[in-house]
Amino acid sequence: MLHENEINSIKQNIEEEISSCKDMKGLILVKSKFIGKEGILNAYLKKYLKNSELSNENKKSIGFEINQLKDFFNLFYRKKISAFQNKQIPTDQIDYSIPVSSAIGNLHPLSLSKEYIHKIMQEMGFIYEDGPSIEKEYYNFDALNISKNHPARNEKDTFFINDDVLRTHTTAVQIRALESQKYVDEFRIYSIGDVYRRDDDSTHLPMFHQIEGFIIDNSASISTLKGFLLDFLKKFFEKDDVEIRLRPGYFPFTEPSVEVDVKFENGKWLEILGAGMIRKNILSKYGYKKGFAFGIGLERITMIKFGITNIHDLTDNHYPWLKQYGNSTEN
Amino acid sequence: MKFTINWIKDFYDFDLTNIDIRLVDRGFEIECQKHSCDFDGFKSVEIIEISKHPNADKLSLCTVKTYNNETYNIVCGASNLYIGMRVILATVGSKIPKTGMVLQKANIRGIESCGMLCSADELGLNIKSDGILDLHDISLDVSISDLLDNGELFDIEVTANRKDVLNIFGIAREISAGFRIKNGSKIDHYENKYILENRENVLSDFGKDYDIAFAELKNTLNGKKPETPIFIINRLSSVGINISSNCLENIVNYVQYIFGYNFFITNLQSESDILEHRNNLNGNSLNNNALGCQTEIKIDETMISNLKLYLFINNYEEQNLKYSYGDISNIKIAINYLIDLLEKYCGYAFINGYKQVNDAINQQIELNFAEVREISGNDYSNDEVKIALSNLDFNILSETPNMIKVEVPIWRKNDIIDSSCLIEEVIRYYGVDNIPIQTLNNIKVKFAYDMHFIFRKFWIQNGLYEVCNNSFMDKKDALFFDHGLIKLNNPMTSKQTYLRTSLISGLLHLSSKYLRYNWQCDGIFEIGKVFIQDKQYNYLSCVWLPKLNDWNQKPKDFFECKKEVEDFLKFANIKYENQVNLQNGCEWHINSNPVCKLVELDNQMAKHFKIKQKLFIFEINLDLIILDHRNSMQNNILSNCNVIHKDLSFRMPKDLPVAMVMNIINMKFDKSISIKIFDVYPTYKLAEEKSVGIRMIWEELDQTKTSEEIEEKCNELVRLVEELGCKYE
Repeated sequence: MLHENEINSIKQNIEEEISSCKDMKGLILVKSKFIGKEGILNAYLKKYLKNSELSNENKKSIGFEINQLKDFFNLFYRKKISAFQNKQIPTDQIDYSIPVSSAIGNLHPLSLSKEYIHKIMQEMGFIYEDGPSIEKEYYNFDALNISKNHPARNEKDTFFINDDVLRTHTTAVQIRALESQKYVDEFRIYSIGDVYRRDDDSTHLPMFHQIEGFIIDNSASISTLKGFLLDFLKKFFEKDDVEIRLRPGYFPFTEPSVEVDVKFENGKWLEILGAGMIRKNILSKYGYKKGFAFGIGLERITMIKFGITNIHDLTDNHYPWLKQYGNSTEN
Repeated sequence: MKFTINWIKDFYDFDLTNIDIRLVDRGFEIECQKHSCDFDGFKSVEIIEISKHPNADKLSLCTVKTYNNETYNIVCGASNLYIGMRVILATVGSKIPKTGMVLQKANIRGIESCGMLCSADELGLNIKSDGILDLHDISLDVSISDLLDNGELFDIEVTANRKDVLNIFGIAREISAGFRIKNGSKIDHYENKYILENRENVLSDFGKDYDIAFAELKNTLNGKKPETPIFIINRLSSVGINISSNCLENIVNYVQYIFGYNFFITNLQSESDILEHRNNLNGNSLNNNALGCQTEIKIDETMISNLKLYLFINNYEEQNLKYSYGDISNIKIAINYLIDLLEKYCGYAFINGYKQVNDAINQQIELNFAEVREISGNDYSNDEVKIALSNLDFNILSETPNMIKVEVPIWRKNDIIDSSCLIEEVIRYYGVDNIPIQTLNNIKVKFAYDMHFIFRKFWIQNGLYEVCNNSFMDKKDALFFDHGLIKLNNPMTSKQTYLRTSLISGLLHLSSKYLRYNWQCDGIFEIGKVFIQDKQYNYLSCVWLPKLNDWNQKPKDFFECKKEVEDFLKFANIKYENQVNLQNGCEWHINSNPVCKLVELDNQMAKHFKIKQKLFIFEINLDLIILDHRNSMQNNILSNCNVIHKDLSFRMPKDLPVAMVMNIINMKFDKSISIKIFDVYPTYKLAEEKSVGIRMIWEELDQTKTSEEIEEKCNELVRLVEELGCKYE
């Protein structure tokens, strides 16, 4: 007969060694240690069976006890294996559940703010109008009181194509809208578009974008213009504490004219747009009475909104930059 | 336009507080404002002794004496020193204007120097000379700050309509308006200093386009060469005008900068020279000088003959002319001011003179008080309007309770043309920014959806990035896109030779760069204008880029790209008639016109744009399809436009399949919100911990969601996902 203490200590060893196994390899070693050919249990068996002093009955019972220990081992062993199988997934198992077409790109910051302005302007009652980029000199200059000898009309500042020009501002759209006589009484028009000037340096692009808007309204005045611009800028920058400052300005097509500065967190004022009451000679030509107009550089307010410092980044389109400053939603 | 405060103070007595704010209020942008240095520690001294430095060949030791007989020993390296020379001494502790350096006591080769004798350059004067500045016979009791202008320096930008402020006197007149302590300018007495004969309504010697004033001066120099006074050198230097070696020229420049008139000055006696000048003027062949004027000086220095001095004013506007035209207000003062300086510093004496001025008709404008209030939106009283205008030198001719009639000062005649201009003057006078804010009532208009924006969204959902290029096309690129090119008359570089006929050239340049820098993305696209023949169209163009480390390790092939194109055509509800095979791709037709095409980059282009990989390019003319299908688009738009997104990111434990998470969310979470995975990082491997971006999309909104509602849903999703053992980031 095996001593009961002996049996218990073997059982304890089996339990401890199996549970401390971390992988299959260790488990197999433990298996051969206990129940392999040269294992502990076989050693016992050999030891007792070869002992001629023991009676056959005793041998029988010892064989039975050792078999029971083997069963005990196998029970733990299988449990451990099934635990391994449940837990362990081969490292090269692929997660087939991941959706395939999941990459989402980014919109260009200019598109984002363009869309943003579309929303704001339409909420404020403006109707979109567009005009051609290659414009007649009449719409781009003459109709806007920019006389033949104005410096802006020389070949150094403006791109010419045959007898036409690449529009230098979107204000040309204003004349086209007024001339069309599509609108009567009180109305509001806006336009966003590409404009061109012969400037290419660290702060200028030869092609940039302008937002142009004007209203024909009996309540139009410098005072309501100020109110409107403040409202617009609050909506665009999504802040309620926007502070603006009006300065005198000069544009051939508005009088009185103002320039508008916006105050930033660092306390600095930054020029952001030009505006004014549309000149009487322009309005009366098409039978309208009173209105104001404003023009904003899309690049500039986009740079401010998204914290972009170099205007050339907008046209360089570098991928890391697009990832950082672009966005996949307009919200 | 540069000026110093002390200079404008020469012309009007006025309050100078907050001058910078006032300049801005009057419509001048300040480009630069510089506090000039003080001249503390600078003294005018006379050299009483010169000896050689014992230890140096090129240095001398000078003893100088001040007005109060203080003496200083100075080591000096200049070679133009002589006994009795009057110079400027910078004592220890004074700050050198040019360098901003503070002078310290120095030991130069064993000998102590108690200061420095100043050269013109060190004092900030524009004279090209190496030696120490010679003050000639200046009195030693003159303080240096009287000799050299230490006032603040401004550089302002003047708008194109205000040529009348492109001179010192004009600036003084403009900013002093409303702040003058005494009426009238300080130089009014020059008006009749030398008597000029009035030749009114006689055709001017220069022809009908010019008004002139003329004076003849006698040369009393006897061959001596006059020196330009220091204060003139100083002022011209401070505003950046080069100093000539000729005193007369400097003085003429000085007067011209003050008044903005053109001069023709000669001592040649023959009539033909004057005739030549006149012809030059009329033929416009005379170049503007550095000040933007048509001033010309023709002096034969060997001749001791009378000086003829013409001041002339153009009566017509000319493109490049910087200065005011037709402003005859100061014609007599200006010529007398010049004669006075020439008498004082150049040794000339006035003999006689005349002026020939055509009758100028002053413009008169009626202004309604109610209109001022209506246009400004501010409640200016009638008196306030009158005070503003009369302080700006508008002459009030007549007045009723409702309106006034004013006469425009002659120097504003090109700028003030109607009542709006007067209103602007009033508003500026009281400060544009002081006008109160009134809100404008919003009116409702039907919301027009921007198709282009919806198209953009489609392509970003397919993983493409939007780019933005300009509308120009390079000369070499144009070879590949040469149908209907539009050429610019005056490009700045060859990159702007043509307007683009396709977006592809710009995209391929970028693609080449993206591949070179190994920037991994699915592709890029652009929506923009193209110009073909005399028409402009809106195009959309995409380029798919091979993604080397894409997790499914396989670059897109033609048909995968085509799938996306077909998805797009379906999405935009574009119905095409047929497809046509091209050599390297295919083309879709509407009304027998090719509208879009998908092609593989061909070898020639690949070589030109330096691209080695296989690329697919899609291009569509948006104007043609939208025109044909605008109506059928409308239904699609609502569901795509009125959408709110919210993105959340979770850290998911190992061996949790993403699909299981998605299933549970789809089962348990609000069905009205669609859930989409937009990012998995680092890999697709199941056994690694990864971070997963989940997008919540609210579609078909019946009403706007408040941010609280959205927040609540987000929290709900976070709770749900966290129950599965994920961590919200």
